[in-house]
Amino acid sequence: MSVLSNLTAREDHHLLRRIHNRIGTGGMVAGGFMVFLIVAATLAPLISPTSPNAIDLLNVSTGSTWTHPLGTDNLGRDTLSRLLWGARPSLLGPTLVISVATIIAVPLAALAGWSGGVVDQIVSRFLDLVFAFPGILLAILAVTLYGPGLYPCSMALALSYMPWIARVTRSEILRERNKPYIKALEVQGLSGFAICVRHLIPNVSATIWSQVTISFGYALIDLAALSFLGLNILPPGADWGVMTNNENAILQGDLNQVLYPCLLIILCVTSVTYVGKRLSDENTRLLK
Amino acid sequence: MTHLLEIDHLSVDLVTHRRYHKVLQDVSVTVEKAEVVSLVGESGSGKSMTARSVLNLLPAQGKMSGNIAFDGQSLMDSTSKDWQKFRATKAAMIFQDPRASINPVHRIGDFLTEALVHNRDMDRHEALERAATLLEQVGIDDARRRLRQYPHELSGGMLQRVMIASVLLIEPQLILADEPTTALDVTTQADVIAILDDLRAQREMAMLFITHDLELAAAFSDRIAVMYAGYIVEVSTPAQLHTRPLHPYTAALLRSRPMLHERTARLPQISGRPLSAFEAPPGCPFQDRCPYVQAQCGESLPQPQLIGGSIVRCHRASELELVSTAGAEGGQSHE
Amino acid sequence: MSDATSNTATANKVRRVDGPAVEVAGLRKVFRVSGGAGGRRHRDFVAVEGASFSLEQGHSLGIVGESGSGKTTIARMLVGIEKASGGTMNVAGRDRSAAAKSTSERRRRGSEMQIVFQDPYTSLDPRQSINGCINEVLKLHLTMTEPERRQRIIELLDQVGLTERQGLVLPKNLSGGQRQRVAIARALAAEPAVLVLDEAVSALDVSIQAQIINLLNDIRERTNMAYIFISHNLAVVRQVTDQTLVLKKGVVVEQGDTEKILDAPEDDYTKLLLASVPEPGWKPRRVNVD
Repeated sequence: MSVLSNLTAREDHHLLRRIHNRIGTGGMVAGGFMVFLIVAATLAPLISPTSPNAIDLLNVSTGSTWTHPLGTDNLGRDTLSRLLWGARPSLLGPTLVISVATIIAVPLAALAGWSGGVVDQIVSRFLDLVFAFPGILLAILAVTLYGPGLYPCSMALALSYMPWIARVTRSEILRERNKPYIKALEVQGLSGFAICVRHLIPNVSATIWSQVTISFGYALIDLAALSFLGLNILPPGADWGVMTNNENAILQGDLNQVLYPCLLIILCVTSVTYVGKRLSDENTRLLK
Repeated sequence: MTHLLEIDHLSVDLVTHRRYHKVLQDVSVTVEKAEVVSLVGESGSGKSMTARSVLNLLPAQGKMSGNIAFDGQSLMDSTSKDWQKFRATKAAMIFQDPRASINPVHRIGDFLTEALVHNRDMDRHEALERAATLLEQVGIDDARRRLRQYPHELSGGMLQRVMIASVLLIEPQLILADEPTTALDVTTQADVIAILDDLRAQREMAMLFITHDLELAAAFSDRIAVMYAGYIVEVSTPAQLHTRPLHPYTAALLRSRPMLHERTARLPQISGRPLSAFEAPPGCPFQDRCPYVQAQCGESLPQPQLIGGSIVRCHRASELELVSTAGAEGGQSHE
Repeated sequence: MSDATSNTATANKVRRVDGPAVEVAGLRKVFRVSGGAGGRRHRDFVAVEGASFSLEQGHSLGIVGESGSGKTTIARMLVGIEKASGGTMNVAGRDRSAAAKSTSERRRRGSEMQIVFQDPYTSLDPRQSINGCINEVLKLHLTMTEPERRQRIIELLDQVGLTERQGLVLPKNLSGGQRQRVAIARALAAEPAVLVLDEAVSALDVSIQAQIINLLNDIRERTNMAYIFISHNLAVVRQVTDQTLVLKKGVVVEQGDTEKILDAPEDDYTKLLLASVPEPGWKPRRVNVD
C-alpha cells in the first residue's frame, strides 16, 4: 500500500516540471530550442525583417549591422530572413519523411512479426530489397521522373527510411509477442489485430520512437545534401541546405553565411536525437 | 575465540534512482570453521546482499558500516587488490544461475583452469588434470570429454556442478552459496546438496548458504539465520527453529508452508507482503504483519536477545509460546 | 491489503457444462529441432507422448514433473498457444483438437478455458491499468452495460482480495503477489469452466504462496470451476489438487488420486521425486539422473 500512496503523492501537476522530470535539464534546453525553431518557422512571414529573396545589391556581404543582424549574402539578401524562411522546408521535409516512413513501416512490421512464417519471410525479403537502394539514389531517380522539389525528394527518402524503422520494430515485436501477457490475450480470444494495435505496438513504441528521432536527423541532413546538389529546394528558394551551397560567399571570405545554416542543421539534429533518446529511456523506465 | 567469518553490526545502503536505500540493517552473524550457516528469507530480506557484502561485490556506490572479519582480520580497510586476493584464495561464491556466471564462448576446461593458470602460475596440463579430478568428485562422468565441451552442451544441474568444481579448485575456507539449487529440478537439487554435504565433511569447508527454502536450510545446515527486511530476526539451530521458533515471523513462515504429507484445509497465511529494508516502519520491521503486535513494537527497534541458545529480535520473544506447524495452533493463530 | 476474500455471492460465476470439463486422449506433441552444426537434418523431439486424462467439473488435476517433462507443453496445447501433433482434446463438451480457425472460435474457447502463468511480472500489459485489463476481457466475452462492467470489476477484484483503488493503478505499482491476483481475476472475468494454472504459485514468496493457494481453493469451492494445476512442487500439489498425473520426459508414469500418489507411490520415478523433497531429517543421496 505504501508504494501506492507514494506514487499518488509524487504526481506533479505543473506541466513544465513534469516535462523536466522526464527529459532533464539538457532535454529541456534541446526541446526548447526545437520549439523555438518551429515557432520561428511558423511565424517567418510576420517576423522576418525582409523578404528572403529580396536582392539588394547596394548592401552585399555587409556583416552584422542593425538592419541585417546576421548580415547579407553576396546578393545582398538578408541572412536572418533566409534562415527563418529556410527553416520551413528544412523542418517540414524530415517530418514528412519520417511520418510517411513510420506509417508504412509499423503496420508492415506488425504484420510480419505477428504472423510469422511465410508472411514474415515475404515482408522481410521485401524490406531487404528496399534496403538495397541508397536514399540519395532513390531521390535522384524521383527527381528525374517528377522534377526537383521537396515532395519527390521527401517521398523517395521516406521509402528508403522505411525499412530501417520496420526492421527494428519487427524484431522488437518478435521479442514482445512471446511474453506471457500477449499469450494471455491470445488465450482470451482477442483478435490479432486488436492485440497488435492495443498492446503490441504501444509496448514497442519506445523503440519505434527512438528509431524515428534518429531517422529525423538523418533525413534532415539528407535533404540538405539534396538541396546542396540542387535537387530539392532550388535557388533562389531558401532552405538551410541551399544556403550552405554558396561558394561565392566562401570565396569572398564571408564564411558566416555558410556557417549559420550548418550550425542550425547540427543543433537541430542533435536536439531532436537527444530529446528522442531521453523520452524513450524515460518511457521504458516509467513502466518498470 | 576467533570465528572464521564474523559479520558485526553490518549496515548497507545502496543507491537506486539517485537515492540511498537501506538494504541491510545491523546484521551480525558468525560462521565457524567447517560450519554451514543458512540465511533464510523472502525477497528483499537482504540475504543475498549479506553474502555479496562479504566478498565486496556490492554495486559501486554502496555505503557500508559495521565490520566484516575473516579469521580475526577485518576486511573493511582492504584495497581492491586485497579483495581480489581474498576472493581468489579464501572465499568463493556459487550463484543461482550457473548459465549466467559461466562465459558461454569458453570451453568448460578453460573456465575451470583460468584461475589456476593466471593466479597461481600453474602449468596448463597440470591444471586440466586437477579440473578433471574435481569434476569426477562432483559427480560428472567422462570428465575429460566435458572439459572440451561448451556450457550450452551441459544441462543446468551439470553446469552447477561445474561451478562447484570451479570453487573447489581454489580450495577456499569459505563458500558463499546464493540459492545454488533454486533453478534446478528437485532430483538435481537433492544431488547437488548431497555433493556439497560430502565436500563439506571431507574438506572441512565452511559455508554461508542462502536460500528461501526453510526445509532445505534445516536439512543441510548447522545454524539458521532468518532474515526479514534487512534484519536478522532469529538465529537458531534447525531443530530448535522447527520445534520452538522464537520470532513470530519465523513461526508464521513455518506454518504457512504447504506440507508434503498432509493437506491443510486452509494454510495459515501471513497478511501483507514481505518488505524491503527501506520500506520497513520505525520500530520492529515485522509489526504490520505480526499478530502479536503491541504499542512498544512501533516505538522501538527490538534488540537481539539470547533465549535458550537462540538469538531473537522481538520485544515479546520471552513471553510468546509459538509453534511451527499448522495443525498444532495454540489458539494464537491470526487467521 | 485485505486477506483473500469476502463472500460475494454474485461473484460465483462459471460456465455450466454437462459431462467432464476436460477430456484428453492420446495427446502428443513432437517438436522438430534442427540437428547438428550447420546441418539441414532435423531431429524429432517428442515432448508429450500419449497423455490421456479426464477431469470432472469442480475437480482439480495436478500435472507434476521436472523441467522437460512436457507439463507446460500440455497446458499450452490445451489453451491453444501450441498446436497438438496428435490426440484429441475436449473442453467443456466441445472439441478443440485442431487449431481454432476463426476469431469467434478462439473467443469461444477463451470463455471455456483460461490460463494463469508463472511470472507475475510479465503476464500483465505494463501500459494497461488493472481495471482496463479486466474491462477488456469483460467486453470481449460478455454483453454488459458500462455500469454493469464497472460493478463486475469491483466484484472480481474483491474476490481475489484487491481493493477498488488498486484497480486504478498500473501493474508496476503492485507487488508480485498482487499481480498474480490480477492475473487470476483476469482469467475469472471470462467465466471459464476450466482454469489452467501453469506454475502459478512457483515464483512467489512462501508467505504470498500461502495466500494464493488459499485463494485458489476458495474460488474452486465457491465456483465449482475445474483446475489443471501444473507444478513441480509436490507439497503445493497436495494442497490444491485431488488427482495427479506424474510426467517423466513426456510420458505419463503414474496417475490417480493425489493422496494415493503422494502417500503410496508405485512408480520409481514418483518415489524419487518424493524422496528429493527436503524435509526434516532429510538426507539427500547422490543419484545421477542427468
